[in-house]
Amino acid sequence: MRASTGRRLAFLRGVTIARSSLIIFSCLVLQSVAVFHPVSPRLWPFLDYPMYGRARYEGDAVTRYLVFGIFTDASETRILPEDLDLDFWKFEYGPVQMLRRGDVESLKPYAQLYSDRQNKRLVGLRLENHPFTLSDQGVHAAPTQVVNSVSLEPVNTNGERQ
Amino acid sequence: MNLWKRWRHYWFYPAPLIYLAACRIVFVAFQLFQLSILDRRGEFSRLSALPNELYFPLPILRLLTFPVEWATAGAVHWRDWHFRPSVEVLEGVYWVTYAAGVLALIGLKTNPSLFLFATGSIFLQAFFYSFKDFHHPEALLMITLIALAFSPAGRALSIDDLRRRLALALKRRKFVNFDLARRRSVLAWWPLLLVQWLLALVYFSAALSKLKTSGFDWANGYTLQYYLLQDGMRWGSNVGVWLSGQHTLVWLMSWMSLIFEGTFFLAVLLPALALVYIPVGASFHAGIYVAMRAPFFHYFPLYLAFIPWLPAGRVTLRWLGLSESGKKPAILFDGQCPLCIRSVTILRYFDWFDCLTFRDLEQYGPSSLIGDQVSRQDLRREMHFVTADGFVQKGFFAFREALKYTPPLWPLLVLLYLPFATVFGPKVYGAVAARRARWQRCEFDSCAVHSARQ
Repeated sequence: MRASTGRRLAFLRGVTIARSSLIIFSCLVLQSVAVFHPVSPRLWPFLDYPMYGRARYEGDAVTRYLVFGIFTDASETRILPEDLDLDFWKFEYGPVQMLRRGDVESLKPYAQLYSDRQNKRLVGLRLENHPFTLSDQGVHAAPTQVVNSVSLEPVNTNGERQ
Repeated sequence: MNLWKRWRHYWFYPAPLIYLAACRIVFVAFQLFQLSILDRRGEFSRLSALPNELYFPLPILRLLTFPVEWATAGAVHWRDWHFRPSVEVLEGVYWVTYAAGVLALIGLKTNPSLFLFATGSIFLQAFFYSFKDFHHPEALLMITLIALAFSPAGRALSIDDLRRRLALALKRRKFVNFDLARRRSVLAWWPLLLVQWLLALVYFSAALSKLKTSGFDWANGYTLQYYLLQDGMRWGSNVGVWLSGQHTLVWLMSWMSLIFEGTFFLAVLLPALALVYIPVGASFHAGIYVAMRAPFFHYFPLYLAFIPWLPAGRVTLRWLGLSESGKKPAILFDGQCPLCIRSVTILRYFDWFDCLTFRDLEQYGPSSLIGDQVSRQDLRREMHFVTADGFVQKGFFAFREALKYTPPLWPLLVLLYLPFATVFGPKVYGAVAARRARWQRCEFDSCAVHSARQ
């Protein structure tokens, strides 16, 4: 009786160790894959950590993107993440990146979101960079650049919005 | 030694359960805190209002919602699993997760609670990251919570364990002494070691990506100046903006960061180095937060997996004069009364640093400690606390004195030192002690003695 209980306990302990080993092995393999063959975020929560990886040099400019919305009456306003109820990163990876690429189709849901929230129809968007240059003497504002402008509505052959 | 034996020897050597249990409490408490400060309603309704075109569920979220997808839409292709939880579903998951977290924290049905808590936390976090942006701080803690759910994290410092000990003591009809700090298990070490290796891999990933992308140019000083300025302006950190102008200092910080991240694994291979790496790591993340507002707070609790805090606790108590080897104060209790056995078992449960001894009157008798100063009948009436130099406290005051030697119960001391506590405390104690005798629920002689006397 005692011997069989002992054998049963040893068996259960062996099973638990095997199960734990499988967890350890899986976690380490998945984390290693994430590190050495990054596919973020497909393996989330197993991620690589490439933040701040690109080297910079003296004189490089720190970008500061501003998004401007253009209305039907040609007036303009700066669009902030709060206007779309987005946080900084969702704004950065959403409208800002799409504007940089000129991806009009992807921008349309955001434009619609803006129209719904602000009751103003957007017909165009513009992305500007207001950079700062870096030196060991301090920070200096550099000239503003227009990165991209997109029209959100089809334009006819006369250049008028339809 | 073959590979399997080496593996077992490395991951499954006997370690104190109390370290694993303490990590469970700290990790779960931290994640519960994160859930508590979450602007739940705002975040859920904000994300739910976003158009479907912006919803790209992470694979793990698709996996977790597969049963719902399967039940509602039948067998569909993996790529078509796009179940999007409503605000009500998110609210439900939140509260179930929260409740499971509380149970996991106190250690009630610990493993199932931990599993539910980890799964719910992953579900919610994966949902937040299914709108085209994701961040890194939470990832390691999520993996750790899942690993803990499959470990014996509830076999110490838990209601489950305490109940088991109380039941055992009452079944045997005597106080069964134990030392929580010495209780070991071959399954107690792997979750902590796994956390250590995952942290090492994460830091190594950060160093590797810097070197792969930029080589040692990354540490030219300008790189970190750039990022300090960028994040300093973006998140409004004056410290970051100021630092971005300090080239030499930032150059030095760049090298320190690279060395720290690239060599952190040494703290896993040579545990003594953790004494250096953990404070440096804590300063590193605190500095990053102050200067760049990158909130890697989740790593602070995870560092506990490196810290053998029991010896440090013993040294601190010795320094406070509460623990001297060979001069431990004794608790004299009536070992034939269930209520006394329960109380002493609970006190012993929180005596992590082994500062007290527990003497059953029926087994040892009082004379070796306090001679004939107090009669056996008086000793049976209430608990006595006796120090090596003959200082004696009894009843409420004995209990209060004992709490001083059990750091996890120190918060209770605040209550016991409130004004008038010395008036009401002994009365409450006396009432409880009297009810113990009157109940006559125990089947032991001592209760019969009390009852007979009264």
